[in-house]
Amino acid sequence: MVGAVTDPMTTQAVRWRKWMSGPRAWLRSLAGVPVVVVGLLIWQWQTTRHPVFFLPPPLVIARRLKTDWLSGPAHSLFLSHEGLTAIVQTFQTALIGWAIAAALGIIVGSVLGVRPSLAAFAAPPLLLLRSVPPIAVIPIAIVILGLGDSMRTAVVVAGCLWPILLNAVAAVSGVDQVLRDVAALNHLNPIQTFVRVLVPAASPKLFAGLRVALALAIVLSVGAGMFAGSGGLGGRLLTFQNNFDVPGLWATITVLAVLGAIVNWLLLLVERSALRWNIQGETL
Amino acid sequence: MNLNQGLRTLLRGLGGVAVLCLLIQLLAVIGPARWEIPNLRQLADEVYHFVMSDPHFVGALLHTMKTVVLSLLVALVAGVVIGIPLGLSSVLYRTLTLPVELLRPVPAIALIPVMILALGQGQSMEVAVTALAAWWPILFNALYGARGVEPLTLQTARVFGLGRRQTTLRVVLPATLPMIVTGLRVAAPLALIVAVGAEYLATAGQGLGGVLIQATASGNLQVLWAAAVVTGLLGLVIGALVWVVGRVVCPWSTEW
Repeated sequence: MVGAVTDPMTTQAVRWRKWMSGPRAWLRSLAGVPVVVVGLLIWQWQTTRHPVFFLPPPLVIARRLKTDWLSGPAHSLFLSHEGLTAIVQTFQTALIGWAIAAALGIIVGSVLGVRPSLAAFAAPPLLLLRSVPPIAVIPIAIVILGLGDSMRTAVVVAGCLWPILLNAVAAVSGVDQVLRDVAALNHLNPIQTFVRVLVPAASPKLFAGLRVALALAIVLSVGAGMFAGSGGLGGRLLTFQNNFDVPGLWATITVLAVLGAIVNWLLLLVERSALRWNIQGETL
Repeated sequence: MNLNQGLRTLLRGLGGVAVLCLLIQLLAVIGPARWEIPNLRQLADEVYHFVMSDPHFVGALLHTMKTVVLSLLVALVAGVVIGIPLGLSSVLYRTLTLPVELLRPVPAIALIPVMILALGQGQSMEVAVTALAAWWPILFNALYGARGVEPLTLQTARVFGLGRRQTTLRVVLPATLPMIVTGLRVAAPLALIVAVGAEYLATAGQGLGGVLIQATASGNLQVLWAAAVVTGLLGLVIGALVWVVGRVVCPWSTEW
């Protein structure tokens, strides 16, 4: 199928799996710690000696991180009330939109993947729809749905649907014909075949699409907030930019990066337990 | 694929496009009035109007296109130059994995405000942000491509007495090329997203992002639908360009 995402991160997943198996692997990754520490020291030293307007020293950012984000009580994981609200707004819409796109994309993609003739019909329209950058959808969504959560969710769905769908088509059409024949011989109905044969067999590739889409979902949720000028982490970024509050900007970026990494890591954990049967590296 | 089969695929594809057109037409008639979905005739009129009447439009299109192409070039060079050594040397790989993993989850779109403050609202800011976004897939693909080079070919290069530079240029680079092209293919749509986003947020009114700002300000949904169609077409063109480049640069690749 034209335009299926061949995911660079699939290889990363394999590496992660190797990385996360065994204590020696953890030790090995510690080799990077000195590099990070030295990098931070140089950054701190240089920017305090010659202050750069757009790049404050890491300690200044850390202080801002504490006052802006980590000044809350323990029961909310030390997150401040404002910070928590912004995080929830952004990540809730990102995850809900992503889940909707995943459900739609996997179901439609599987149907197309099982019927190559249907896929031939659908390929050019899908290519057209996929080519519309989700950014261009944001203004339309703002005019129709306003500035709220539903707008951000809609934008996330519109952006994430295509990578998931195209990957699902590629994944399902790549499922061994023998498996499908066996399912037919055992008189599985279409739904049973879908749930018990097609989805498991296609899941390594499905997860690749889901992970690409997850990163995109966060970007779009933040981006929609920025475009709308309100709501979540994107809205905060825009406020900081307008106030020329550079440490505040960097603190927000740090929060986004950490949360993005955590969400991605959680998905990898799910993937790892779901794909335990999969021989390492088969996703390559 | 024989001719007959190709013709059938083509016809089916055209059928699919026709169905899509019908769907749009249908939505224009029965869809919620608030959405103001234009029917095909209105859409075509609006796009035509857009392209013809506005003297800035072609300039805006070229502006965005230039940003995307420039940033892809920057990302390509930076990704390959850094990715291949990282893939070849296990020392570099081990020491730099952690810093790279820490920087990677930073969404490029969140860097736009910082870049605007650092580089202003011009095209250099747009190219920088877009290149940062497009850099990751190319970097990782170059890295894993270089790591995955068949050891036998490396040993052969050594037997032939090739130096490190020559091995890299004449053995590793060609072997990694299909992966790099795949990375480019993943990076291109991303680059378009970030480029338009940067233009939109810069509020300097350049490129397609500027066109979107104006259309949003006017609140005219029909213009916005047309703008979405036009950016979609640009996405299609950029995708096709990358495909052609990939075909020309490494025709032996099977990654399509």
